[in-house]
Amino acid sequence: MNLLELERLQVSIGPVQAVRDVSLSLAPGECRALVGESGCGKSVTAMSLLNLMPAAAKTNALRWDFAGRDMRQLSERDWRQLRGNEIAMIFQNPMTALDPTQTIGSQIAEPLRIHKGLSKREALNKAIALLERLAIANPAQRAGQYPFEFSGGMLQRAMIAMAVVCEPQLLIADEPTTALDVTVQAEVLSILRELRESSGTAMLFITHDLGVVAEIADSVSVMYAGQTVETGSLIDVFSHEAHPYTQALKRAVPDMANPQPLQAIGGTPPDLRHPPTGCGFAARCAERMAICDQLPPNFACKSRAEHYSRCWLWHPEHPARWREAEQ
Amino acid sequence: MSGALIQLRELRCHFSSGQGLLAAVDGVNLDIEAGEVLGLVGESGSGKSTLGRIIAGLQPRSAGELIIAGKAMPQYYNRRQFKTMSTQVQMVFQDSYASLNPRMTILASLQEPLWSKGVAATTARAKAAYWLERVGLPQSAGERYPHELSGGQRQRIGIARAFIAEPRLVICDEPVSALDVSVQAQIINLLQELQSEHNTAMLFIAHDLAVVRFLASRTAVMYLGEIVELGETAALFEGPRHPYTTRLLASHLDGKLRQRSTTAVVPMKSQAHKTPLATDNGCRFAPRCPLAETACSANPPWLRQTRLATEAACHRLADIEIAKLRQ
Repeated sequence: MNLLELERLQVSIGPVQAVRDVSLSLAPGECRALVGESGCGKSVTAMSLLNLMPAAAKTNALRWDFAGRDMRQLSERDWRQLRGNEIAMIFQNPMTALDPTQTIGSQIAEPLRIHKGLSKREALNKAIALLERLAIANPAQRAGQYPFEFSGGMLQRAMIAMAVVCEPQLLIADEPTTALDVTVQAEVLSILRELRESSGTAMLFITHDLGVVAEIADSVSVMYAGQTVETGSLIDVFSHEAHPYTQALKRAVPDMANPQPLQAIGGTPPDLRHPPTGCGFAARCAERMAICDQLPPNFACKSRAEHYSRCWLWHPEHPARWREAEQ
Repeated sequence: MSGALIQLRELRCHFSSGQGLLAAVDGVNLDIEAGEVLGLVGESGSGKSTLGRIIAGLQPRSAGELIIAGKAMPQYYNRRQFKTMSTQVQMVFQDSYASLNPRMTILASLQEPLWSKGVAATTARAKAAYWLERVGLPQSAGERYPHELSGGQRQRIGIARAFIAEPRLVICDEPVSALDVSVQAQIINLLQELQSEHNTAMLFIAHDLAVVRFLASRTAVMYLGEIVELGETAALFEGPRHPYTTRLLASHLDGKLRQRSTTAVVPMKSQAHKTPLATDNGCRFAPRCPLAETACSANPPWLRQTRLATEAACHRLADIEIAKLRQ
């Protein structure tokens, strides 16, 4: 059974339909990357999964199950017990996510005291042990320091420690390495990978960097204009990319081994206050057909087993697919 | 007078800090030829932005010489000198919003460099209109204010504004790192077109190695205020000699699928980010270097010719070259 089943999530904030149709599933221990440009709804999806949206936001989902529970029925009291305990989050900017007036050690220990009922001393000792596992030198001394005394990479490690200290079943990481230098990024990624292997935590890894995705994910969901447009295993999405947006995205990234002219994606994403009636990507798509402007493709268009693409090109009645099937 | 367009001789920029004199840029020798694209890479805190700002006249140097087009520049500019210098050197900033005056229309912002150059108002207006179109924006955008444009559009304005006065050198300080991948490609292509069209020299500062590989003909690698490796981009990327360059290139994630190493975190020898002090002896990379010997921390290394079209500042260069030959 899957740990998380999310079907047709819709979130609107005032006039903006930030998330229009997102479906995701996560098996226990799986790492799924959620890829997309800024404004495509990745972070709103993440915040919704923790029920951290502002009161003005309206959330609606066809199905939203986590560890066998229907999350749509939970009260705020239930959520408070869940957050930081069963579902935890790593934010992009640890400097703003951590409390500047509290020591690193007490911030990492706090969830243990709240959720697991540990004493102050026990919790702090566990926090120090965890810092040591994350390759922070002099952990006991470091735990007594404040965020401003840490470098960016160490702060991100402290942030990770805070998120994993209660051994959550699901860890949501929102661009955890975007603000870091490449050498530090490599270290943080290998820490996350090691944690995942040792504890079996499932991870939803939000990023716009395809290089990071190739390094950490088992499966990938690509988002565009508030919708998941392609989902599949890492190999499916990277080697057999089906949606024209994913294809265009890959051509737009400079390749170090083979420097070729970059093919930029023309135009801009649609205004989500007035999303188009047809496919959201149609206006920028090189393979646009008449139907693309009229009707939105649904997400059931299957390109391979367990590999879905929201594109009319992959509709079973598209002539190219018929020919392929016959061969 | 002969020689390169920009010549830096033993350039230093020191700031006083709690720990002593912080050497943001420490003894940099660098030439930028007319019409060439020089990439400058390094981690945050390596001094690459400070170096760019010194050349653009936005930061006074502490010592050393700065020669632009054969003329030695003063340490502090007076108004007239700065005006003359700024017709030669222009800059594109990372944060396109902060670099435009929010109370000026786009058209006025574009014309500002021309006004200070003493160009007639009608000519300036015509030129601004031309450049709006040249960077791919509609004429109507000229009447707008910076907040009304998207990040990619604003960066186009930033670029037009740098090129409009026909400078000999454009310094780009991380011009695409705040942008989405699809927009990044548009901006990089635009920069490359304009550079070759006008044969402007470009100093391209970035932490994204793939972008530098793509754009630059020569590349300089900075580490804690010093240039540790310098040379032709292709040679430097294919045969890095300095251990830091090797490490930096190995940390780059190229989005290729490959076998993942499941080994636990291999931290660099010292996790602590060292602050470069003016009083440092020896190689600044030595505390993190896998090849460091005792001699490395005794004397500073200097740039020496390698067997490729590059120079590297490493005491163990001979050993590294031999090891590469044996491979």
